[in-house]
Amino acid sequence: MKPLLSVRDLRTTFRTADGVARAADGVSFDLFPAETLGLVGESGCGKTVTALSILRLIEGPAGEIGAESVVEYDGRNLLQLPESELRAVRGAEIAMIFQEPGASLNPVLSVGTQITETLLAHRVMTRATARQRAVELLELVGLADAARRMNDYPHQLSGGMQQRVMIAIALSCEPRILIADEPTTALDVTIQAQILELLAHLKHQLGMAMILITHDLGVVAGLADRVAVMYAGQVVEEAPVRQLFAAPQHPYTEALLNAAPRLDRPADRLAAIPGAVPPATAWPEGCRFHPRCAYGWERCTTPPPHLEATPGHRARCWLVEQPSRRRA
Amino acid sequence: MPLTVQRLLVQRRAQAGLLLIALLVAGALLAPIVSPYDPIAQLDLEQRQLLAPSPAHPFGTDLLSRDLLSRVLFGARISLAIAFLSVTVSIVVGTLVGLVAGFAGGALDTLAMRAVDTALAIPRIFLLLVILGLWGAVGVPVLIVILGLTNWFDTSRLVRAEVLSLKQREFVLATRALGVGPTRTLFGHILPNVAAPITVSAALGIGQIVLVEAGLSFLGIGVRKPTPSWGLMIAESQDLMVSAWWTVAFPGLAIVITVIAFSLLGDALQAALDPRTR
Amino acid sequence: MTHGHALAEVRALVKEYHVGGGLFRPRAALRAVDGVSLAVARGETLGLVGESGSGKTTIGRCILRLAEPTSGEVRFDGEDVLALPPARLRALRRRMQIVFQDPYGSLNPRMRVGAAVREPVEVHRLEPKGSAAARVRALFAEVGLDPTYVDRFPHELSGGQRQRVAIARALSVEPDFLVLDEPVSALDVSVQAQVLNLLADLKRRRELTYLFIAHDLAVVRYLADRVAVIYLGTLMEVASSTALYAAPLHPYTVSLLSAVPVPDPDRRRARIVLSGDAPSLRRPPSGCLFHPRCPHPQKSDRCRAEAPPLREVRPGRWVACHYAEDPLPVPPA
Repeated sequence: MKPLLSVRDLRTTFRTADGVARAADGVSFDLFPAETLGLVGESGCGKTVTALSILRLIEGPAGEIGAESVVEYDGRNLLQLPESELRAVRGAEIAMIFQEPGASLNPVLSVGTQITETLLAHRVMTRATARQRAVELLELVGLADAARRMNDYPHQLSGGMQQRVMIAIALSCEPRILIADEPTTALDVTIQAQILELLAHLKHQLGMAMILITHDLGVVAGLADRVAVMYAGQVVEEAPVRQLFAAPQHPYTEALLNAAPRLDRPADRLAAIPGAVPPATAWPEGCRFHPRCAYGWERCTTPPPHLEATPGHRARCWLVEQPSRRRA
Repeated sequence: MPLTVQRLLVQRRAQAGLLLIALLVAGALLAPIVSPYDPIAQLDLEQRQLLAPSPAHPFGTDLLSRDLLSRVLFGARISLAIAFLSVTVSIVVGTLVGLVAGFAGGALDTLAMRAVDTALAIPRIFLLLVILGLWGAVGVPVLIVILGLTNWFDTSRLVRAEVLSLKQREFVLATRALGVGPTRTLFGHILPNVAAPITVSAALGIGQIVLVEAGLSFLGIGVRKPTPSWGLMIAESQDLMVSAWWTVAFPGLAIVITVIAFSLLGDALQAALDPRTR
Repeated sequence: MTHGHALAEVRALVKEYHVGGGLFRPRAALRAVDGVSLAVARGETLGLVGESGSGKTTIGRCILRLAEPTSGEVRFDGEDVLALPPARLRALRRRMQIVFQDPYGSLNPRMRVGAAVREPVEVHRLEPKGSAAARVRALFAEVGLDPTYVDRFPHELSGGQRQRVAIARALSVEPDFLVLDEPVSALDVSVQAQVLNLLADLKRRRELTYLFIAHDLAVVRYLADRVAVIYLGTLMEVASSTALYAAPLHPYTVSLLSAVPVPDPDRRRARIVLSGDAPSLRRPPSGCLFHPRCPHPQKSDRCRAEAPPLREVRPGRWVACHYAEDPLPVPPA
């Protein structure tokens, strides 16, 4: 099957006071039709920058996407498209929702207006039709009393409702890909459950592909079909979701799974990862996780490429070739 | 905070402003050494009246055959000294009032702010005219104090607003939890964080005061003759604007350059300190 | 689990905020905390769990008297905290401290971190002039920070490091009791683990008592001996940690537990997903605060009419539900 979206060797840098930050440093992954890819990592790993780069939402002059980077969609490289063509893709074919719904919604426009404006920007229809479609969308995302909500302003809605509106706007043009950047992180646990359930439901109903960006392994386990784990600007492991959790190949994935407090596996002591994420202006030489890795050895000073452990499951780690060294 | 200094110096307007200020301050400080003549000496009422700019007198001479360059340089001393010192007075008073009003809140705050509002309702020039007009001839020190005490109101409002927002920050709550007393919290924690708007206020204020002082001296109630003040120099030469343009142009230029220099600096400071661009 | 008499205690605590109102409208009273009674025994960690708007942070601040309760009692080691004169209160502040959620906001951005930790030592005159610096360095080492960091500013440190500084600062006055207000919520998972381990170690070593406020049930379980669940300013359930997680009795607790995403793809269990949002505190529901969203099959008119009191249905298990004897089952895996 041909991938719907193909990111190859994405490099995004930012000029900062401390030097050049290589936020995304050779990121590659594929997204297949109707699948949900979880992009997992902690802060500073480059996952949000990757998402923004896909839609070329990186602000120059400080931010720059490398010329060799490729984001292939529908046979075209999105990074090379003229702005007018890209605008047709953004919102209509590839839509994005963000972490803080309150900040992403225009506070002075009513909810209904924001949806209809998006529709009218990308589709030819009368305003009346657009309004009707907007009400349908609000119902689709589970907003009670949709017709009345059309005239509400964002500040009148709770966080959960705002996120639903964001999703409605994102879905309004029936995109083939939805990029969701930490869509539930800012929400309470019970509301998070609602939104995750909604996303799962919509996934099935609309046959949409989704890139779900999160730091929460529980969220990924519940929604994703495949997972890509990011660390220090690179994808360090990629696998179908069950395999990732059952048999993680990269020590970082393993460490992340052990460090999280879990309801199903209470522990006396959490296995913390020593040290801290290095700054993007100074990635370590060789394997970037090597300074914090429980298994590291001399070979790790050579940066490992992606090595395939089992079909569809690859990791950037020499342990894939030398599994005997996998002893704590 | 070296980072802020870096952010400041990177901007062209900061560089330009600082350069101009450096030149002005150098001129003012070195005036006794550098100026070719005594600023109040009438050199030769017959031969050297109203001479156009020439190598002997780069800025020309005025009606009383005094060398204009020397007068402008010494004028810099006077104008800048008045500006720096009176702004210092107003910053100190304004900050204290703002700090206490903002931190204490309640009746004290209301009282202070209503007083400030009232004072702000009176146009400043008018206020100064009344005070200086009634007082009569004042020496430069008294002038400095009067200017300082009539100029602190905006600063106090700025500082108070900043204090109000800082009071909500968790680190202030933390100091309370740790048992740190209000005085120490106010001066040790809140004041250092208020430095930003104060610095901007000060820089812009200096430019403003130079203008105000020039205006007052022009009107005859500021610096008195024969002390050279740029405003005074312009006043004395009003009628000569066309026939002897240099007598008005050079002091006027000096004022303009000073105001621009400090405005540039103030602007650049504001940009450098803006937390949003961090 | 250690037992002891209550070190920190609140009784019938009420905290109202007045909002809105204008020329013609009276100000509305919001009850952020509505009659909460809790005791933290010496040596235990009490977890206080709730979502945003539940009042949990307010309770923590009221205990330290950083917020003035509208009514109710606050006691620390038997003393009535609300009746203390300022001097006594200041002395008492040494014994109870707080660590906030936001590691950046809780430190003065213009103060070096070493100075921030030294200040309380100086203010309370805990060390003679010369040795304060040594004490600060020892504290840094104790919380796992390189002592050479004392001259750094907060912005030069990572989130986890700043939080360690905040902990060191709280410990500098040698408290007995720490209110931990979402201390790890703003940190990455790997750093969370480090700080949680540190908090567990410190508790053992210094024999501390903790009130651990959080919204994350998995995190609370790791440290807490007992857990109290709060919703819209009222306690819903209080029980020992083991009992609560094994067999929750209140429908809200059950929903909360089932809502937490578990990092196991094979356990995509049927979740209880609550409908709607938490009601606004301005217009709290009548009767049981949770009734509009409650999934309990026996929910009845009684729930709408009568607010259930927090009662001890079994020894050590307190629940505010009319049907606690017949609890909602936790959805199976």
